[in-house]
Amino acid sequence: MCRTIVVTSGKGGVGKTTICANLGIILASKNKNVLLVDFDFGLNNLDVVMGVENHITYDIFDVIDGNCTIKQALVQDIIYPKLFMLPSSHLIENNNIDVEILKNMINELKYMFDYILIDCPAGIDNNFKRAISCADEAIIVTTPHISAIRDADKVLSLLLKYKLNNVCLILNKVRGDLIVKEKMLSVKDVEDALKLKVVGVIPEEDFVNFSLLSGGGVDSKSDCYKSFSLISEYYLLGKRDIFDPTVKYKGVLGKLKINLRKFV
Amino acid sequence: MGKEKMVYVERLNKILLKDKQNFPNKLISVVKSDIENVLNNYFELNLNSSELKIIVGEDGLIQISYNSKARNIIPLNAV
Repeated sequence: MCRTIVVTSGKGGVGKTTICANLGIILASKNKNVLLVDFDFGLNNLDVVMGVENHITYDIFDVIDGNCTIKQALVQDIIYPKLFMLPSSHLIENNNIDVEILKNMINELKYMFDYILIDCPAGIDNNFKRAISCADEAIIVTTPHISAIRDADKVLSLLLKYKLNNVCLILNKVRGDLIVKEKMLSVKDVEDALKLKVVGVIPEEDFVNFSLLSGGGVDSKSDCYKSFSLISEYYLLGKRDIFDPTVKYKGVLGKLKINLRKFV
Repeated sequence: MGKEKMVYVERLNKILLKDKQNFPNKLISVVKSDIENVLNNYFELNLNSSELKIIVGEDGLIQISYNSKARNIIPLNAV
């Protein structure tokens, strides 16, 4: 049975699109049929993160306007054949799309995929509500900063209305060295503040920026990859094993690494 | 927990609580109207006397109270 998961946050720039893309890539690499849907109408970037921006013929609005079938609008990933994307358009800012049309579109695709990941726009306007309405589960993405946690809390309150099956938290841009030095909120601090279970912790890594721009997901040797892999196990097997970004900064060697990071 | 982090966590919790305490202001008129619509089926309410309070406590728990006076009870078989 297909699981439809919306990736949301409230605040922009916390990593929704990146998480949506990389979780999709890992699930597809584990032999699951995955569809990524870009609901960020007008400000879409999922195509760029996936590296398929030059392979798009039709988008979600062409399906709505009847210019193509829904299958024609799907873009298959270049590296992972089980990964598809339903692109949005950056030219249209349509705020009048009927949520029922979008729901029917997603329902039509459910029989083809094991996972449908919806990239939700930032903010809590109508497009946010449309994205949530089409999902059965939600991932709230936040960073360990007050402004992002505050917005995540607001989104969490709004999600109550939609009675989703499963709402989880992913903590992004976490720096283990700062947590050890008590200069950043820990995973437990965020979990306690939001009273929501964390299913993934993604460390902030400098070199991730470039690998994201080239498509194909994060480097398989990176801590980010390990973290995404653990998150995928939660969605595949229900196993909640969270990446600990503080491990390599503990002990004598860890202290040395923290001090070296000052000079980087 | 270090002092700097403790201040940060306290600030975060205060902001989240404040948001929750302010949130009901927008809710009250909607909930009040819904409650009155339901109670109007069973009582002849004096709407000038009705009052709804939604208070979010320091512990985050929400206390909801509704007070109203009614002139009559409408019998169940009155339709």
